[in-house]
Amino acid sequence: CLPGSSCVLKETLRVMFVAKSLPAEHKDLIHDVAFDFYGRRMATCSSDQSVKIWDLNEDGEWVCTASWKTHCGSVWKVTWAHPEFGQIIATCSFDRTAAIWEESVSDSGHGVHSTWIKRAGLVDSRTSVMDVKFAPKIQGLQLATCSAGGVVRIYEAPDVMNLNQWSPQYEMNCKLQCSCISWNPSPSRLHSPLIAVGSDDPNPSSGGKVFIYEFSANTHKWTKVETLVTVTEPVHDLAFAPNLGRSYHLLGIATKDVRIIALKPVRQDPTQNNGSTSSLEVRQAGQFDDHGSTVWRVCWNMTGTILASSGDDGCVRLWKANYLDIWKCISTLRGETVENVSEVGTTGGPSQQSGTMAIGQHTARYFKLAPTAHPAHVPWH
Amino acid sequence: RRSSNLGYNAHTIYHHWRLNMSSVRVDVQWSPVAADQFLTWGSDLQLYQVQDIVPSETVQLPRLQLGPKTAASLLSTNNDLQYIKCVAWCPGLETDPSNQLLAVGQANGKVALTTFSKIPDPHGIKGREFIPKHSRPVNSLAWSTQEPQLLSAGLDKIRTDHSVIVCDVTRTSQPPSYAFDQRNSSAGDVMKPLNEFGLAETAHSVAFSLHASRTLIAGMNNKHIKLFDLREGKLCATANTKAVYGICADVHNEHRLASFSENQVSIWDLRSIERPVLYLDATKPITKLSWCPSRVGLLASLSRDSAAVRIYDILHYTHGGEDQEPAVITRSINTDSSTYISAFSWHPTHENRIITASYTGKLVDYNVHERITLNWSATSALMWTNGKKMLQQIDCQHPVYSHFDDISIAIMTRAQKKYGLHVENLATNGEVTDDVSLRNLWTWLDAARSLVLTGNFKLPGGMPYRYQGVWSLMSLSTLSSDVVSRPWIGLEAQKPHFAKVFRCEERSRALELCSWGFENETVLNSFLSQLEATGNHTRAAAVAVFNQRLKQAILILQRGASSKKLPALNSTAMALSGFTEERKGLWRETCVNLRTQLTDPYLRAMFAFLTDDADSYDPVLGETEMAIEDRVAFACTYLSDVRLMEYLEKLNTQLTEEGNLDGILLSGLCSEGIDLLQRYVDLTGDVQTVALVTIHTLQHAMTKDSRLSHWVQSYRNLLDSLRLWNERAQLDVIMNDNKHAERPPQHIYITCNFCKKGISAYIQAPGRPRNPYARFGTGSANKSKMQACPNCRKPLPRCSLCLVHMGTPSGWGSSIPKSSGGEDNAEGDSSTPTSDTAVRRRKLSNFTSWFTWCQTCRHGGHAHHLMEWFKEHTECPVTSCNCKCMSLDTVNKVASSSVSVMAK
Repeated sequence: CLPGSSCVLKETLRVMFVAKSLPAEHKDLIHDVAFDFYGRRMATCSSDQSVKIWDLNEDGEWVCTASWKTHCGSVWKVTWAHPEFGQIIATCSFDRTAAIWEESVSDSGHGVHSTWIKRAGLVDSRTSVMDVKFAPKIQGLQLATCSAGGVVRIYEAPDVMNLNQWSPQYEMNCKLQCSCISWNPSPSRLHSPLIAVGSDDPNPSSGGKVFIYEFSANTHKWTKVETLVTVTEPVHDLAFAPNLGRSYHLLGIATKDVRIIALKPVRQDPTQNNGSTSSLEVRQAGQFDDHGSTVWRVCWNMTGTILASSGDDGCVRLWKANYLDIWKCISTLRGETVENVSEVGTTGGPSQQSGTMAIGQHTARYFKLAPTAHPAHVPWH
Repeated sequence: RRSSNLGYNAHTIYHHWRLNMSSVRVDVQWSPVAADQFLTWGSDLQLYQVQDIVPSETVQLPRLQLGPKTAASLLSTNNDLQYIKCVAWCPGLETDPSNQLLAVGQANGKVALTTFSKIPDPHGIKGREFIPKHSRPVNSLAWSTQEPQLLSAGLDKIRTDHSVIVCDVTRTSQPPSYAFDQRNSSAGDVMKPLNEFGLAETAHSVAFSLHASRTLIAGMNNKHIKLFDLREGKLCATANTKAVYGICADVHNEHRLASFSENQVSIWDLRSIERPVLYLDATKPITKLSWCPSRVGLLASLSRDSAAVRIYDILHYTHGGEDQEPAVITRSINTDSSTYISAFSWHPTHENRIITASYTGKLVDYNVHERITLNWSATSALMWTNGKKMLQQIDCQHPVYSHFDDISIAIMTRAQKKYGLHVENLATNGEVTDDVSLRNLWTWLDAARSLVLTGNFKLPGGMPYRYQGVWSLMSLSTLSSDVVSRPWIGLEAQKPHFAKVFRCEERSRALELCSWGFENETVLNSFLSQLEATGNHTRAAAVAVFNQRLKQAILILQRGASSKKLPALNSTAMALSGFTEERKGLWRETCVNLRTQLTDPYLRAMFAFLTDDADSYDPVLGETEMAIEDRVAFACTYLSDVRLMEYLEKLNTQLTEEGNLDGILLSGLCSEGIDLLQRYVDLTGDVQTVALVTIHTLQHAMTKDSRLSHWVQSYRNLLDSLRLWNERAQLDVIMNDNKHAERPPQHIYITCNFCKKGISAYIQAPGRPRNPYARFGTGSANKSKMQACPNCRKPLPRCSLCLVHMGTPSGWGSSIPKSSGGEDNAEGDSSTPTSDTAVRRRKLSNFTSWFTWCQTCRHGGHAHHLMEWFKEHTECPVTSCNCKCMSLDTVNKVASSSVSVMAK
């Protein structure tokens, strides 16, 4: 429940499940996992300076089809371009560069091999490149990076057939070290392109840590239209929800807690379209400290209806809004186990609220409802 | 033996009492050799053994619960030594962990060597001591890992003595002639220092260098870090710094050191000791610092009055021979948030395992989680990392997913069930879901569309109907209704009864939209029997009563009682038959009292209507479980103009606010209806339904309201992402059908290789193209034979496999028996053999006869011939062309995973 809102007690029924495991074969910590447009290919990147590509085979198992050293430092993020541009990924690294890679399939005589060829290195940053993201397809082959030095750069491949050439288009200085970046994925021309940038500057007194930039088609410029002043703690990740027809954009933020911010474009009179940027109405839809510690990552499901967050408590939590637009935790994933929290009763008073929330591991009832997928997967209770 | 057991237990309980009651700072350290042992010391030394437990197990004293999976029991206590200042466990390997030497520094300056073993050790080292000339506290102890017999101690300042000493524990000297303190005299041998440094100086911390052998690092006098060469016995380097405390060397990087001052950690590189490589700030004064022995670049620090251990993940790289500025990821680990942590220790071998001790004596065995990264795929699979090297996944088939009750899964399954692709009868689309409001929506859309298409239904004023709702229809003009008295039918009373109803053109239209357009008896009767047929007897009865047909209602209820085996309906019918107009009758009183206890909303509404006194009808209108059309129709019949408009406006606003699709009846599909749909998407995320509604009924508004095209675009994008391309293409067909758009332009043009004139125009079958992609085939007789360019009469290219010219049949169709030909049926919506053959007959030519070619080498042939060829080959079938046609198109990985399997 939102703090301060009147809550109805939900008696919760907890159900335990087991998740499927996949050895990643990286030599060091995995920093990012990215899926392609269809969810059939996956890329992982790691501190071992390499990237691995995984393909889903006929049995629904992930098979590693490529693995190569991409950078001279930890690879922070990996991201896929829309398939209409080809099989392209971008990586960014501690070695101050970002890189564009394209798959090339060849026949070595022993079967078909997929090799990934470096098409371009983006070496403009003088500090670690913390995040890299392709723009939504509608904006062409564009790429945004952000660096620990606080600079957001937007590159474009003017010729989509020539991936060797990426020209820097825009450079925005956020003045604070940047950690993450997200494009508004709305496929509609109804919304002007938006980029959210998060900063992990540790000093709360340096002000808001999330900046929203908007691209104006008239002036051909990116302008900062909003700073979320309510987020002053370091931001480690942020993600725009896929906007499937909603009248507002949802932004998930990983900071010392999980934040969900709704950004509603204020509809303007089309006759007054004089090039000024439209304004955004900012509303906090949720703030949750269930992780009880730093939140590292957030991501949305394809409809933007469930937010997943991971925290230093070693848990992944899933958040979903009910029909009253109140967000709450619907599931906790810890290690291999998935603990589902579903509502049973809807009666009771707010006074009992804290009691149920504190059920924790000790008094929770565990049920195993469904058979596990694999005999070796035994849930622990 | 028995007594010793008892003694052990008694001691343990005493120990717990001590731990809990005393405010002595408890320190903790994992054994360097035994993975399951650790020691604690406050006032005495205690050795613990860790055991795995099942989480459900209750751990009782004397065992201590360390975490969800481990507990500890006390193995041994050593209370020979008092006033312990610091303890260092010898890193050298012993076969018996209990023989592992411990160096204990005491407040009086004595450094004693001891073990937990009960028996004397074979080397006789246990019990040896170093006793300084002057009594002062031992600040720090360190063993050398390279030469485990070397022990160093850092002591407080005294003017006449050294503060840093190094001993070889295997060598002894004669007991000193001076015994400065009788209490400190012991039976053990006394060690003589090998080296002594720091005359009249203070040593805050000491550590052996891992970089150079026999080099000692010491933090001195609050202002220096000094490096001593033990072989030469001299100072070899000095750095000026306040960070003189807690010097520790990184086992994973021999050059790296860490130390702290007040609330700042300094990281040093031994090769350039002049100044720190890196500063790490903490908010409170630091009390302990330690590198993680099992993981590279992980440094943990503890601050005073802190419930969390701070962990710095230091990423360090050299690039092009040049060191880059390291990146640091700072984390806070709360092992137990209830109290402040007094000490911690990294496990020597188990990665990320840490044990903490709190001021209350509580010990927590904790696994520091790796940072979890996660992502969600378009197919609703959630992938996250577990630890360093493991990925975890749940996908939409996973049992937990059904509990999420998420729209993404609903959209996927509905799309697969052809949701929104039924054009003829829109109501069929609703049958895909169990959602009642969606079903009602599609039923309404179907009805409204037929009203639009037939054109018979005219709005008041003669305007054609364009999907208006009741509210938009009513608010077109001001109402002026006539009051009509409608007689009750089938009510046997002395004098005829009348009900006061309102009539006007708008109201009649509205009633029709609610399917209450009972112009004559037959329409009403058919409506009622339809409801009865679907089992809605109470609704039918209520509608009958609302239309003054009491006798009919009673009969309906009786029929319902017998057909649905609900005898209660009979008693309801009985109660209904007693209806009287008497204002103060017993019947009325009873009905009013018992009405609320009825479970069926229609029965409640029926009695509320019959017992209504002041024509307010509020209980009927407030019956929200009643279908919206019945409520609205009731209001349109019985409410006065002012109250009707009030009621409709309120209801419309409320339903729009709730995003309730029932409100479409009121708002229609005008701009207000679009607002309602927008609200529905905002609350549910169901872009599918609104996009489909737009495609079927709102295409005319798409240019005016950009929201509509946003929905359609979003949904088409979603279908593409789900690889439901056929469904998306069908949707596009429906859109273009409704638009009566122009024929889409040809995508591909074919020209003759010789005369460069286009041949496509001649080859296309008459009529509109069935598919935007060019199809070439002459399998059927109704196509003109064309093996040569119609212009220059030169032959068309050959199929590279059968070597006949393009335009001739592949010879495949006849060789395949009709029954097994289903696989080349591209429009695979046929599951039954009958429709399969029907589809085949509709086709002009088989897919097998289509001509296709490689985009790179431009060699080609009949589709089926090529498919057979590329099942076994990757190279082009044309002689001396070594184009790897099959492997060029990497997009095929998306369509089929066969390539990725081959790539294994």
